[in-house]
Amino acid sequence: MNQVTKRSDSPRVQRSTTPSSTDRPSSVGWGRDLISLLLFCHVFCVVIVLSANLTPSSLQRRLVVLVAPYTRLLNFDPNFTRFQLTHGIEEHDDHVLEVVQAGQGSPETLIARFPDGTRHFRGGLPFGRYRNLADMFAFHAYRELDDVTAELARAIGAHVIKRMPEPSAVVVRCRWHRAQPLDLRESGELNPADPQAPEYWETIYEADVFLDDDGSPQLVKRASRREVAPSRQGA
Amino acid sequence: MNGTPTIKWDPASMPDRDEAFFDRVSKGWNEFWFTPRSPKILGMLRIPTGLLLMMAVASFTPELWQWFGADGILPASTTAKIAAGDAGTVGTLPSYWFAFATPSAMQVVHYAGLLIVALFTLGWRTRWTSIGALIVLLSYVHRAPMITSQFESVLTYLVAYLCLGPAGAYYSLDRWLAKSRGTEALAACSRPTVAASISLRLIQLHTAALYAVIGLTKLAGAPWWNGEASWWLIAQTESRLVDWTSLRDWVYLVNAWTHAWVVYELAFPLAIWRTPLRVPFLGVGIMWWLLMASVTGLVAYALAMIVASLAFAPVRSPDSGEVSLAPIRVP
Repeated sequence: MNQVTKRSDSPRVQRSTTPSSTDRPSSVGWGRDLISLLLFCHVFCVVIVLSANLTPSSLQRRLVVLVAPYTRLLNFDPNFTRFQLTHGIEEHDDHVLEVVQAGQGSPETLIARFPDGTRHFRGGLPFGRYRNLADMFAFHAYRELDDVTAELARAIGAHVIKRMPEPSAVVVRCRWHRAQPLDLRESGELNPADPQAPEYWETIYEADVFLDDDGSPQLVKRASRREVAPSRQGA
Repeated sequence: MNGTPTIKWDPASMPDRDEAFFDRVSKGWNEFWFTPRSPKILGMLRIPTGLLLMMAVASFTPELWQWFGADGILPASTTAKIAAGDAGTVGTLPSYWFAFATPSAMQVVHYAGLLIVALFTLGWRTRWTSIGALIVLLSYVHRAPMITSQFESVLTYLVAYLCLGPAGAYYSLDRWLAKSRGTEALAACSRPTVAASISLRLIQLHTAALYAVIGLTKLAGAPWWNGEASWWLIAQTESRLVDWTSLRDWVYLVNAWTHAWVVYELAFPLAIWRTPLRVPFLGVGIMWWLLMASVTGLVAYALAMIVASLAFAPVRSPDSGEVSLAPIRVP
């Protein structure tokens, strides 16, 4: 009984019997409960997709797919967006897409380069879009996901060919620009002091693109990397 | 034994304690989300968010056909094929860009979208133009998700959450029109609301969660531990804005920069809820993001993060005489 008395005298109970909480219109209470439920669901979805951005577990992957109709629709799912900026691996270095005209026996002529720092301001969004395209291309090239790289290379090649004064076959290639190490004597070998030296450039994907008789773009792959890039963790 | 306090386990007291706990959680939850707040800060966030969105949309103007045209770099069929092959996705997401294929139609739609975004930035019929602005943004994002980046991720949640609250109550044409209608309309416009609270809290919570994710994902890579990550960003000659390679001879500085970067991002989601730490954290954050932009070239992303962080700015509301952001108690 003593305990009951204490409980009835406690400020908590007094608060719970104040008119503001008990006498509020039921519609307000229901509305607040419903909004609370929606907020909880929303926050849950956001936490799931954000936490699964880098290396999701099987459970996270399942949950991401489950909430995808909502999170993807509103672009809440970063979907492997590189918020960490770099992990020091090849994929996180700069990549460029080049379209060159391959003359028979003559030197190659560079027709287009994406991104192109001479055409766009490097801090601007147009430059960033080409940069994202090149990074996305490289991401798939490293993983040998040929469906995506071929589709993109075909579209890029066709786009450039149709703008040429005399349309002809082109070569679409993705090049990795290896970042110069902090210590130029990395791994016991002396790296060139010039960060643009040829040693820092490597082609990770290359394909011929041409238009067939119907004007449809066709692609013949020349080369791509065979393995996913190793980490520079020991550097 | 006499006089010595003894602790006895009393099963009858357990429900009381549980009840008290749930009461506290419930009270904290309600205070956090449902305490009416001044919409002033939403108005302050709407303008830079709208400007960033205008920048994003306007930057497509000279290259609209080049990206989205039938013979562009990313024709609709290419987007659809890539989206279909992306495991775990829901395929191609809705975008009005899939409905327009001719250059003239695309131009009209593009400028209409730009107009909606401009009206949202100015705060004209903000309730509707904010939803319109979100549709415009999502249409660009869904049309070509492969060319989006961190910037669009941040911008989308800012615009989406501003749709929920009275983002046009301050610094807007809506307010100017309300003022011309009289003091009553103006007072109604300035009143603290639950919608403003929910909108602001969602921005804050999402921003804090994003900071945590940014910091934690950095920790998954060795260069952020061995202090070389800043160098790997500095060494990207194709994308950097400022050449910081002279820091090669200052290895400790590069290491300190890297570690400070991680510490700031991990500390932000914890410290930003403490009122006295907000201003210093926001001040450091502005400098930090601009520095990051100079290294990586991700200017728009840096600006979006600065705007998102400003959701924590302590703003005094002149109309109500209160600080619109009361000290925050996380439930």
